[in-house]
Amino acid sequence: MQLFRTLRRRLFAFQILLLLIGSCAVAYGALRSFEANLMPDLTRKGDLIARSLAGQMQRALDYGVAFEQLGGVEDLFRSIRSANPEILFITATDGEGEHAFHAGEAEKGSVLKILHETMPAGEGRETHGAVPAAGFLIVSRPITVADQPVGWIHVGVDANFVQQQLSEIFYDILVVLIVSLLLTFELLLLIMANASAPLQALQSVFDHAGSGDRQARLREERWPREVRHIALALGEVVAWLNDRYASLAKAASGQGQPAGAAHRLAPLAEALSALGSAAGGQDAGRGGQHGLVSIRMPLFVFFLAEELSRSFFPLYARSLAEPVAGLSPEIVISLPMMLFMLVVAFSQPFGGPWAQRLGARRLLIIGAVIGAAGLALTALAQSLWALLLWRFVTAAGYGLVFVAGQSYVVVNTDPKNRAWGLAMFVGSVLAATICGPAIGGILAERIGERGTFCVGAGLALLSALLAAWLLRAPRPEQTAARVPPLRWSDVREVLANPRFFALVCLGAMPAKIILTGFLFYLAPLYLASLGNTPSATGRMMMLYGLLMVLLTPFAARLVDRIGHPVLFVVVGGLTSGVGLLGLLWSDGTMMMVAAIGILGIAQATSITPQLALVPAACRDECRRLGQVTVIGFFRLFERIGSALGPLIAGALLEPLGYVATMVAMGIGMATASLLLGLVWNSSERQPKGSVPALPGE
Amino acid sequence: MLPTTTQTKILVAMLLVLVTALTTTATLTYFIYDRTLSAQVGSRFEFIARDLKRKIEAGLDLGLPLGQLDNVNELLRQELITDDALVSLAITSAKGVILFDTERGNVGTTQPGPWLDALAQPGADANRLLQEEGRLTIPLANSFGKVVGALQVSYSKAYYDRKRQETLFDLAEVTLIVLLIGGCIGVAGVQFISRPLDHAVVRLEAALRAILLRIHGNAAPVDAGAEPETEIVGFERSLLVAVSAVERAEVEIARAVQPTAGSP
Repeated sequence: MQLFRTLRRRLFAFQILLLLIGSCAVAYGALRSFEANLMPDLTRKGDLIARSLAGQMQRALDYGVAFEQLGGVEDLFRSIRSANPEILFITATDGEGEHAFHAGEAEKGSVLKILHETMPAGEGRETHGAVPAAGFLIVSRPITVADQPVGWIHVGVDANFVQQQLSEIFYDILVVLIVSLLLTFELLLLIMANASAPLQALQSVFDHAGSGDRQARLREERWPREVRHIALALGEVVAWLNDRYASLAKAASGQGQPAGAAHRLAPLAEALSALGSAAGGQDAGRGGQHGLVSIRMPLFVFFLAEELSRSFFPLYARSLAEPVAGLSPEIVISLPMMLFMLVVAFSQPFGGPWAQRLGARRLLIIGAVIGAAGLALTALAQSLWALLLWRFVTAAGYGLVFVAGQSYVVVNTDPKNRAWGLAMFVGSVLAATICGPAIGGILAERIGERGTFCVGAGLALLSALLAAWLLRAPRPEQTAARVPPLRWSDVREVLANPRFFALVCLGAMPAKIILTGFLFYLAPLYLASLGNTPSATGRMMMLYGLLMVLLTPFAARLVDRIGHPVLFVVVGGLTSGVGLLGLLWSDGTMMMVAAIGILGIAQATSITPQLALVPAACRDECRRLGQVTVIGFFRLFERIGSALGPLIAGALLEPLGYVATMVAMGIGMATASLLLGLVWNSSERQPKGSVPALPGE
Repeated sequence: MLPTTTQTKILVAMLLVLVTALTTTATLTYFIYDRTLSAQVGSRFEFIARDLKRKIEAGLDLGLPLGQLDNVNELLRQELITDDALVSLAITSAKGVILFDTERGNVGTTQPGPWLDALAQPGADANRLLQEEGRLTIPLANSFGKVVGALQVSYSKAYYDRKRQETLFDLAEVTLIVLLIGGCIGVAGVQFISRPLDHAVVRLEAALRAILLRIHGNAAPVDAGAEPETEIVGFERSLLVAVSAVERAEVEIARAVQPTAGSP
């Protein structure tokens, strides 16, 4: 309903404002407190340096060397400054202020001017504290010979040093804000879905007029407490309307009744239909919204649990790696990641029957508990083999949760609102992709990698509890559509189609290879080698998820408007490849950030159009096997690409090194995209439009 | 137990997120303070240690054995009084025997510790600073580069623990104040923003009650009134129209059916 949507929007905007102002106030208060606390220590150190230097110069002058002829003074100043970044300048002046030795960021002339203005010669410049001037805290000590001052040492401490130290908290605050806002969004969605549940259920009743079961459900449903009395009252009114309508219809259509009697029911039928529309408003066709929104929170929490280790997992695997005959250390590090992706890839075809047997709710709870156990045991792993085993367990849990989530969407939607339901599901995955790496990085820095896995295990358990609390047990008629078993003959048949083969091998798989090989495997290792902390790496990786969320819907609309999805796939692939070539120009952190950002933009452009090409490439196969099955095969190969990514990156890393490996992957991606364009254009033209994205990794 | 309304749920959820976000921000900020303070402490005492090392090694360069250097006690004492966070300054031989100490009673005793093993290693770096809890140790080398002893700078951990504690209290106070103000604004804001929902729920409840009374034949017909047209008012009106339509249809069908029922 519009009322709930408007309220949600207003509350969300209000929370943004509250969080922004609150965080800024806390950060400002902290800065004031830290400055007051740290400044005495900073100036004390400046004084210490000034005193020591004054003593050293004094000894040299005691030997009779003239002030202006002292040697190596500026080198000494420079060496002290290099070890103390908060010291912006060190200057020594003679008694008249005519000769000066100086080392510092600020120019000698400007420093001398400041010194003249703030401490005129002969006015007793020795200070026990620091004199603030032009962004410096200046500490001065006299150089004396025979108890007579012959010069001064001035040490300029950066007055904004504490502020600069705290400036890096800006990024952490930004991460906390984004995560908080996503959490607020999820909570508001859930609360509003609860509040609007009775009216939507009522709308569903009128959508399926005549179904007595649905009317009974309005009375029998386990409603959220805050709307229970409204739902029950509505149920009673609906039952009354239903009973009266049924008896009137019976009376009017009974044998021997005049034809006019039945016509008198028309205004009543119209009024009931209008009541249905009034209850549903613009959400017509979204009867299962309450149920679908309820699954977002457990899914979000579970995927967040797994995403926490994204920014440091390769580093963790490296810490446990041991020599394996015939494999380079780089490939060994990639094995746990490859295994994880492979298990998730095959969980789809093999997990489907479990969803049918156990129901989505139970499967989700079981999967989340298995995932929690896997994450906890990953935290305790002491060897590569233990890590491989526990990653297998975690991946099995992840795969089951994934299948359960999809199954729940299918059960709670009909063809009219399935795309919306899948968007709800994908939304939870993407929200976790944004939050996970950044929060995980911060946690890893504070409590360590093993501690972060433990937090992940706790979150996975929490998601199981949320699922048990929020999800409704399926009613007998709510069973997932039967999933046909995976038949290799069907796979062979689809792969024999050259256009599908080209789309998989030159489009989907390279896109996933570059995602997992570059972003998940190489980026954390390379960024760490450049001296970045896990939290900085997490923030950079967060950029990918953020751009995907923001740009994917925009790109999908653009494809719908312009058509030619293959063009978007080729351009997206080329862009992600070219983005990595930038590392040839500069191999620093900023270029890595750019490469990650470009990958996000490029994949947002190409992922949805790729799916649009599947039915176009396999018209006959879709007719024979069904579109869902063919798209299922496409997703399977895509995920096999995800599994190959770390392995390929690991294999290239040993002989080529980081930069050349990333460049080689970029060239491979760009070449594959160009080849795909050529292969596609050499065959018939494609229909316009795209299909809604199915959930993926 | 608090009454569970949608408004209460919204309020609790939003305040929970606010509390989590602000305490996380405060905690992360404190971590940065702690790191900055530790770096400041470390570098200040490192400077003191290196400065003293330079002065003592200048004496060693004259060829005197470490234990026979003049004015070392005075040098250490002078240094100690310049910084109230310094607890003691000591010079040991390469075997760990204390040769000079600002705490006189310790002279002649042996000071064991991991630093001694590090110094004993062949080719030990004479500039390497060893850090332990509340103590820095730096080797002292003669002009040939041979490690002949070590300088130990002990500083008060309590002094910096006190600083940390003060800051923690300050930060907790700031966070609490911001949370209280933010909480008050949050409560007022949520109440104000969700007023239409509250109003709609109350109105819908009243309307449903009245309709139930009416359909059970206990009350006069309800009217949606002259309220501005909102979705809830629209729904309520549709509900009334449906109930009225049932009542009308009952009368009309009864009228249409009666003559037929009465005919032979």
